[in-house]
Amino acid sequence: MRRSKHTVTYLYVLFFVLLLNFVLPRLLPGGPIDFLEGGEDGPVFISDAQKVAMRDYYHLDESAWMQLADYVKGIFTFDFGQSFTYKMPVYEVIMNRLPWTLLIVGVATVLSIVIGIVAGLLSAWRHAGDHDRGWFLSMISVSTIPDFLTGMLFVLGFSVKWDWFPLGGAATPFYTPNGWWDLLIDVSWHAVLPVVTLTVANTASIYLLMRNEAIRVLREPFIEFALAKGVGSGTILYRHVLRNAILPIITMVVVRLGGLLAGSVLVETVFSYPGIGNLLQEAILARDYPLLHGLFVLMTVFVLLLNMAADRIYPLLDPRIQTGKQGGA
Amino acid sequence: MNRSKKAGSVIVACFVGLALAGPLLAGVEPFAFDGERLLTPSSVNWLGTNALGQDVFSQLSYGARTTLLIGLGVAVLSTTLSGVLGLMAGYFKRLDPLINGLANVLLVLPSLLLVLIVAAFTSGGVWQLIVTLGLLTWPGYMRLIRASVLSLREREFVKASQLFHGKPSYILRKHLMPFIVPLLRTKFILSFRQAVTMEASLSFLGLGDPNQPTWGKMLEQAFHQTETWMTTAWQWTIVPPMLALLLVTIGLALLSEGEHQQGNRLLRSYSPSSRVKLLLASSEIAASVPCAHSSVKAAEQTQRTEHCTATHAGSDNAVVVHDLSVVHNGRTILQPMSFSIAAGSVTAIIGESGSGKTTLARAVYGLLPDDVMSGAVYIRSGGTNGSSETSGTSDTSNICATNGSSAERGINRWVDAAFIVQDPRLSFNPLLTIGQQFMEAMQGTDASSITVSEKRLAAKQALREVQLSDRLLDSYPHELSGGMLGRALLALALINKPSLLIADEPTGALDPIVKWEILNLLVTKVREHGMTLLLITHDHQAALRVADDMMIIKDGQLLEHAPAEQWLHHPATSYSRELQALMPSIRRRHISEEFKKVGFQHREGCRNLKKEQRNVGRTT
Amino acid sequence: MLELKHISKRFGQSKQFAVQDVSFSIPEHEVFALVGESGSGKSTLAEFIVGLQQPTEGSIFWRGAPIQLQAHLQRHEQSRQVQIVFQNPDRSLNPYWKIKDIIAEPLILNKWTKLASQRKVEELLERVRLPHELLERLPTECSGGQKQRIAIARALALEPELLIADEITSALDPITERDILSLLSELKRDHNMSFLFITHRLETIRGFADAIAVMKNGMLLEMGATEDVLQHPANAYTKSLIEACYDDYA
Repeated sequence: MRRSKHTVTYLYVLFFVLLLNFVLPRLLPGGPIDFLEGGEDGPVFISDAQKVAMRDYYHLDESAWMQLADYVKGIFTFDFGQSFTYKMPVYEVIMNRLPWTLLIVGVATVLSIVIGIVAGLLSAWRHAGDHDRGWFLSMISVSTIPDFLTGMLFVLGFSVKWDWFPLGGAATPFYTPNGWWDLLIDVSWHAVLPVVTLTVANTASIYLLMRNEAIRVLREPFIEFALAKGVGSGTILYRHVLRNAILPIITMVVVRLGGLLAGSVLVETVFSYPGIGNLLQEAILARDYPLLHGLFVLMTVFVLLLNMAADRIYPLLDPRIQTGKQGGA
Repeated sequence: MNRSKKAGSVIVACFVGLALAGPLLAGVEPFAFDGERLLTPSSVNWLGTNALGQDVFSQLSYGARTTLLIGLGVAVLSTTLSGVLGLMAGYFKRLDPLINGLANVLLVLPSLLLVLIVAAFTSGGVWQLIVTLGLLTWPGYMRLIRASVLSLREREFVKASQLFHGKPSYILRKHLMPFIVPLLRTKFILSFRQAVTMEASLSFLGLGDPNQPTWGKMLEQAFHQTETWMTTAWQWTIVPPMLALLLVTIGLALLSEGEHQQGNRLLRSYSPSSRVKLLLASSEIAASVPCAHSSVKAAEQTQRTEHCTATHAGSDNAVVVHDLSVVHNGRTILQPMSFSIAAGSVTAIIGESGSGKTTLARAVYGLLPDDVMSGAVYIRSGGTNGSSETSGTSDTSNICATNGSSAERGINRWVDAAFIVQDPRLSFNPLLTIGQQFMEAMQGTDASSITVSEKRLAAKQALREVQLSDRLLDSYPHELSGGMLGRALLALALINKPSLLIADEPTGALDPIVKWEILNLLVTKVREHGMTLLLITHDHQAALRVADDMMIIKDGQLLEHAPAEQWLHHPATSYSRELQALMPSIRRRHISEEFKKVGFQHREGCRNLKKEQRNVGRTT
Repeated sequence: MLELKHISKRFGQSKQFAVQDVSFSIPEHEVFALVGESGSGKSTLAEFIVGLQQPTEGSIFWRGAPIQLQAHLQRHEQSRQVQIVFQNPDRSLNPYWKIKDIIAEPLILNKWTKLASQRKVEELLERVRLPHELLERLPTECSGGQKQRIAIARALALEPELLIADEITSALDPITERDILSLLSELKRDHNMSFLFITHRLETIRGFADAIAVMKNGMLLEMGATEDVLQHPANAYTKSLIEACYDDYA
């Protein structure tokens, strides 16, 4: 029941985004090409060859229905056309960039989940003490700072002022490493600041969620009962508080992960990191519509898959839902 | 208003002041290329000029205006949408699927991605941004408001209003609105902050409104100038807008944080309180603490002592409480009281809700933090190992069996005493099986050599003792009925054979028939194992039927402590008389007849118990 | 005066009944007690009578005329004559409203003038024996017993003839409970009112209720004059219920 309802929602979302992607460029005054040319600021210069490419891409000579059919066909075959700026199939461009993003987003996610959950749990344990209050206020403050601002602060401090880390990029250009070990060091060196920035940006929200949930669980009668049973603090925290508090957290963390892929656009721009976030910014500024289209579809599908995964994980962790399902079947 | 909220308001007020007055003071248009490039701050250009020769202070103050406009616009639009749609979705069942479905769709999408889509295809104007953000960010709080309305709709004052023919608009406005105003206030500040952040981020990506000066754009321009990093220019081109953004977002966060209510401190200590200790050997207690019940009135003192010696063996106390009082936040929850409870007796603590009886129970069990509680509590040691291993050291009783020589020691929870509370359905952790929760309780025993299978065996045995199938060990609490959980809880309480069981309204949440079943089982098992029971209840009629002694508590004061029969026939306070007047006269007669019977049984039971103890002594 | 005929209610589309074929009638000027454990369907019946829920089968008659459960207009007069007081005093009063506004609500909604309703509120306050100072307070500043009296005063505002008391004393301590019950007896005597008294505790109704009906799992098990049922229960469940309350340890 629950699951099918969610699936319907996801289908709606997919449909909505794909439709938006199809309709928006065609709805612009005068169509995508005139819109770009006639734009009062004219941010982009378009050559005749590009115009041809665009007309080709949008199939503007054909009827609306034919355009739609081509569009849908393209989506299912992962054929998003040629990128205007890279003169390469969109699919390949994205695949070249994706590993970089996955690297920093992945590491940052693991770090922020671990730090956020542990800090949140301990903070809840010390709830209503001055110690917890201080943590809480600083985390609230950190969670509100836009991540590009954190990134800039780091760049200012660690790269400009002290020169500890590189200003940007994923690897030193024109550098031939002696074996994979040097390469690894070089890459991790470049990844430190982006990863730290992303971690800082995401830890706070997980911490706040975890703290609230853990405080709620700590007030449950069964915690008092476990204490009365003489169960030690460590066991209470791990077996009773963490297990109960983490259920709602998992869903939220997984869903947030989807947002992170798109959210990396800011951090990657700050550090000129060659991931798909940076690619997204380039594509938007250069009005590289095929590339944009590909990125949007990719990111939406990614978000939806994560949501579905969260829906699947949840019942595995909560015995109450499991048995309810069996009873219903 | 707390400190963080005050700090937040000051910051936000400064920002609004800058937005309103700044442009008048600046005197230079933000986009005018009047000055030299990258001038250091001076009396003419307060914050210097940027790489294009534009005045930084002018840009900063005009940027504050843009930020304020976007923040206000988005906050008003988004808050109104969440409020109106939330109220409608919660109250009108027909609109709910539509609104909630739409919200679900929007919630799945990360809003940044959608804003980017729209910004990519439009020119990124301020108004487009306001509308896009306003339309995208309502679902989160709409759902909170909807959930709140859904539960409020079931409140009886709403039903009553419906019965008086209050129209939906009237009910929503008058009855429900006051409840969601705090949510809307938080939402407003949150939206404001999100809008500020989002606008700055978009501008930083180069997607902002090209005709408006904004902080994000100042940052973007400075950030992409190599000169910024080569010289000290970053000190006035990057730091001011960066600080402004930081301060505004943090200020707004502090402002909304003040809305969250700081929860009251839970009166709970995670480790056993140091004021609760084990009773020393029986001879020592007799010397240090008066044996009998608390002295309420000296005249009755002698009678009570008689009763005490008649029923139980002299100074055999299971609990001795010495000048116990509880004060929290300047409020006295328990007035100082001293009393002792005879081993093997059932004592009922009677009081209304809020009279302090639960606090007393938690204090005796050592669940209160040390700083709110004063006085001392002594509890007789218990546990299965205690009596059999060391009965050689003390010949007649098992008091202080394992540590006869050692000085005051804290109690071992669940071994020396056990504590069960109101609702058995809420006492079990929903994510652990019954068996796992039994195992946990058995970890407290001294003998760590017990293997898992032995523990399982003991748990099965305990379940059978309360007439439950031992297969329940692998079930989760939600699969059991309230009555079954009540029995399981009882089995759990008996598992280590503690000397004292404290039961706080153990049947309060159960149906009348189940309630009697559980209460009878509880008393039977306690008598069977020669344990002492402290039964906290508001039901004095039930208490009269099972208890040997009664303690009456009102407003944190111990009014009376007397044997049940004596309390029934010679109540010492007017409150007790008032309580008794509530019982039908037939009942009263009935109960006192019962007492003769039960009292006899009990004395008999005590005698048997003592005999057993003597036997144990002899065999070793 | 009120008659229920073959009332049934199913859970959704299932075959399970929340209430199954219940019929009884309440005579004028009597206290009729409905007894049963939680989930036995007694509160659901109360909601049928006041129209907060609709039964799937059966009909309800008020003074011989069928209550049109959907027709808004006709309900108007009947709903004035039948009022309900709910179990939880904290939930039945809006915590943001002053006491005077709470009691005046039915009057205001029935288009009374401000002055007239003000006078009526004071009279009602006297009738439920509450001090005058309470008017300006909020419900959170009142005790549980006071809150329940306020709820009764609000229900009395439109001078009903039948008052449904749905577990109104179960959240109160025994002494307050006794006081509320004596207030109801007074109302019955002085204002000729009838009561449908719903409770899960048999001990509260002795000497108060004239007739009693016992419910379990949505079905009516037994019905009769109070003393008859208490002395000679015909049904095994009733018996065990009485034993649990009045007699036990067997």
